[in-house]
Amino acid sequence: MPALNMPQPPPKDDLDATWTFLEKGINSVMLKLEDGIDMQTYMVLYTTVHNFCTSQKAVGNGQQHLHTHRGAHLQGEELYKLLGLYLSRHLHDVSRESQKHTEEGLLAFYIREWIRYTTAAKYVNHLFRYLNRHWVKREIDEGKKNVYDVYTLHLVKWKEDFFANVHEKVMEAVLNLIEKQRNGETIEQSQIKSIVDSFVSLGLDENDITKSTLEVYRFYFEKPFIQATRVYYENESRQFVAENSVVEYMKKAEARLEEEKARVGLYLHPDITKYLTDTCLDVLVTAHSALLRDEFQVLLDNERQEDLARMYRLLSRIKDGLDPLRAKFETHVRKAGLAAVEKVATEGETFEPKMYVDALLQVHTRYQSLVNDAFNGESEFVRSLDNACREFVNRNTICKSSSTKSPELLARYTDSLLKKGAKAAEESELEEMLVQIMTVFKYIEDKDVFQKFYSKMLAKRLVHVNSVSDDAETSMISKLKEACGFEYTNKLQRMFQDIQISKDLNANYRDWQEKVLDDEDRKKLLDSHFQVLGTGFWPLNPPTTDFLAPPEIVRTAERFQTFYFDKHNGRKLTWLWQLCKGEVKTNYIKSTKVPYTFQVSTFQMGILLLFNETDSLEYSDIQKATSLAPEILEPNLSIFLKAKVLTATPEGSKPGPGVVFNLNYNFKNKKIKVNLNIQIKSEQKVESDDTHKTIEEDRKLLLQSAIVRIMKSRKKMKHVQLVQEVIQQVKSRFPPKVPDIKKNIEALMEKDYIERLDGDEIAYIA
Amino acid sequence: MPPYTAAQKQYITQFVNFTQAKDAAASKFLRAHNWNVEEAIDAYFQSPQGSSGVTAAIGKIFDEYRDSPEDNPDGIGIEGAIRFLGDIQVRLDEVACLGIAELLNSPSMGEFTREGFVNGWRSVGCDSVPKMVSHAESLRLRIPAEPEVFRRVYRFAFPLCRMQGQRNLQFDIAAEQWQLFFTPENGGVQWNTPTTPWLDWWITYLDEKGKRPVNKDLWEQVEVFLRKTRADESFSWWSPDGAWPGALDEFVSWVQDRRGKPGTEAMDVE
Repeated sequence: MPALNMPQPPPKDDLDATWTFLEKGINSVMLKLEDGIDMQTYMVLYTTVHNFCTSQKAVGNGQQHLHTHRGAHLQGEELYKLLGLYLSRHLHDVSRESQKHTEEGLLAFYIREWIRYTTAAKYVNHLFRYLNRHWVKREIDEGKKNVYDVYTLHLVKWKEDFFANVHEKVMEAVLNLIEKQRNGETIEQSQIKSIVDSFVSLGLDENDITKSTLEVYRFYFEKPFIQATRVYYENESRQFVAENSVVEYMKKAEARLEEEKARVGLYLHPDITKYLTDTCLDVLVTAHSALLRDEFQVLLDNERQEDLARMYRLLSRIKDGLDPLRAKFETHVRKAGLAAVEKVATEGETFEPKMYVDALLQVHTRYQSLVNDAFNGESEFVRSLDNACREFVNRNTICKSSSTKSPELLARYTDSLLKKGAKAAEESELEEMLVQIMTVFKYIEDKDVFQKFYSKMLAKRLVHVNSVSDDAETSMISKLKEACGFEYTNKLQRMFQDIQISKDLNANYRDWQEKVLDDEDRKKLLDSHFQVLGTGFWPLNPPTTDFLAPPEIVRTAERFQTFYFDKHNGRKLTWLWQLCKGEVKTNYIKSTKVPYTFQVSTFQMGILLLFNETDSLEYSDIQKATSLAPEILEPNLSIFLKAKVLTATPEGSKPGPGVVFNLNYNFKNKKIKVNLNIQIKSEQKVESDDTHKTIEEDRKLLLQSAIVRIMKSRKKMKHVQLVQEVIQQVKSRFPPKVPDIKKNIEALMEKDYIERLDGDEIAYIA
Repeated sequence: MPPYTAAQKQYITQFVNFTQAKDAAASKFLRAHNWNVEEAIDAYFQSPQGSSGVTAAIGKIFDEYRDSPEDNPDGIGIEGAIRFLGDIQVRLDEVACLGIAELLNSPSMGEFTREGFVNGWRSVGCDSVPKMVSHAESLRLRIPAEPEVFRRVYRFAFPLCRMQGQRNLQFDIAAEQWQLFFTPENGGVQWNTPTTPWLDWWITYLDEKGKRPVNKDLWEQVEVFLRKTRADESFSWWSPDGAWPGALDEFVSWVQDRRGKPGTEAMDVE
């Protein structure tokens, strides 16, 4: 560009000349920026503004506004006004031009003009920097309204003179475009993005022009957009539901929710996220929630896990969406549990405990995995599951006769796992099964009943040394301890200890024997093993029958007693003959080289050893020699007859007075070792009945000790509160009934532990 | 000495009226007992100063009814008791008789001790037979009318009627006492109502349950229960979680069952 043509700034005091010069420059920035603007022109324009603002007095229209006292460099109001007028004129033209365009064309036009305008605004703002820094700044500092820096002035003018005229049509075009996209067409998303950005830029904070607000965007964009969204999905979902299954609808709704969430990221302002989500949930989920819930039972019945998960995801997002589902779920699980038990019950009285426990576990496992997979393991659903399980574990067909049936069966099943036998499980498998037992145990209300049966059976396993493994026993006890506390397993652990101590004791006894016995003794020595069991810890009773032990055993027993009393002075030993056992050899049978070995109970041993002296004995002789009660003697003789160890005369008669028993020299068996120590059926039944009886007694004691304990610490207490407190303390063992608690309170009143004061208060009597 | 407050003056007047003592003695005893009139009067009578006149007079009356002054100088036996009660015009089969027993802290039916006799009568200011007659008469009126008095006498009946060495009251005796206390004929409170024969049902119910002995708590709570039923016969005050003894809870359901079957009674009529 030739230097000679370089424009000169107009005289600085002449407003008209100044503005004419400036307007020309600004116009080329606004309309022909793409042609470029050279540095000199730019500099001159800048200088013109500077000159004018620093002139002593400007000649022209603005003269009367001259405020001498403000000083020379604070001129500018005239320029500011003229600039505003210029922008209005420009935007007026743009407005008129915009009318030629519609829909996407309009959007393109808007965006084009917006970019041109805002780009120019930045340049112009720069040209007027001096004005901004001094005059504008002072006006703003003085609190003048409607005075902005030059860039902001551009935005204000855009909003007033252009945006106000076109925003409705623009939004219409935007919404049409979005609807097209929702209908599956491809659109130019960047257009919407630009519109959004423009709307956001127009949000000016009246109080602080350096800040922007989202008000314009919210009012002119969000509102109509949300409105359109609502209408769109209302129509769509209504139609979809009418034509498709609920399952299909849920898929659709979920997809739509995802889509709208993505839309925000693609071209909307993040401010809208919550508003949009809420609207979509309201229209897509809440409006159809009744329909969805009605489908819940169908999905449960058909175990449609994926669809259940989808329903959970949808309803979990609306207020109170899941509550009705939880109630239905609980009922469903309970019914499933009851049905499973019902099926076991059809087997009659003879089903295996395993069947019962497996049935309970199966239902639990199925619905636990449903809760985890479909319901995200949500705690409220877990609670519903627990409630349902507790119900069907404690109250079902099999428990109908007695609520203590569940814990009894569970204990029996545990026993079958921990007892050595044909069906022994692998170690890792066993541990897994014990964990499952604890799952059922958790739901058992009568935990004291389980404890009773468990300790009986543990006692047997320990005494008969037929535990599958010490590790498994310890593992089970520690699980129970974890669940119910130290007190619950105290006795079980003591039993374990006794067995351990007995092992050492036997070793010591053998050493002692070495020292004490003479040769004569040694010849007649029996191979023996003793277990000393603490009376307070073991659920064992002395024998119910008299028994004269055979002399061979008596000698050994007495020797052990001597040893034991020597060690522990003042203790008392009671021989539990009914639990003892041993092995005898059949030297009298000549048909085999190796004699048979009979595994027998001590009672049986007492009978058989009599035949060392004679080959046949009459019933009453045996009875006299052993002193055994008929109800013990007869079944044992029956076992011998059945195994053909003995034969009866007259032949085929049942054991009883008058029958003679003969030693069978022709005894034959495939095995060398023959087990004759078989539990007698009637014993088993008696045991179970006894256990139930002691449970009632123990509960009374437990209630009374709880009452005394509470009253001792509280001294005085309202009756109602006392009852509540007792329930709290006792419920981990069994669910107490209020009348039972009252009965025990009365019992304690009679015993003068507590007394009734006026106003239903109970007091402790020290 | 500081002037007395109005209340204190009133206490002194009460004290004097009761004991016939001098004002100075009254204020001395009252101050020593923190102006608690009852305690002060009690202490006055215990003291040599106060006990002399009245105690001597009551003691003299006591002496007249002793059965065997040599063997048992401080006790009135059954015959003396009957004579005494006759003289103060109290029937043996009325509640007021138990009221007198309660007043005199009788150790068992038809027995009085000197200590109980003297303290009892002194506490109500009776030192002559005519005064005792009028006190008995007022007791006769107050027992059915004042629940507090009734409760005191009723509760005293439990240890009084108990067989020696027993903790509980035999059913037959308890039933008899309930008949006495819970009917108006002999100075008790009416329990049966036109709509519900409470007393009859209660006895019938216990009878059906096997006539078990009645313990102290049940004895006392039956009277509380009676007051409740008199206030409201529909059991609105009852709840299974309440503090009632089990026997009363069961009685409530028993009554409800009975009421719930009006048909049976109608059938009886037919």
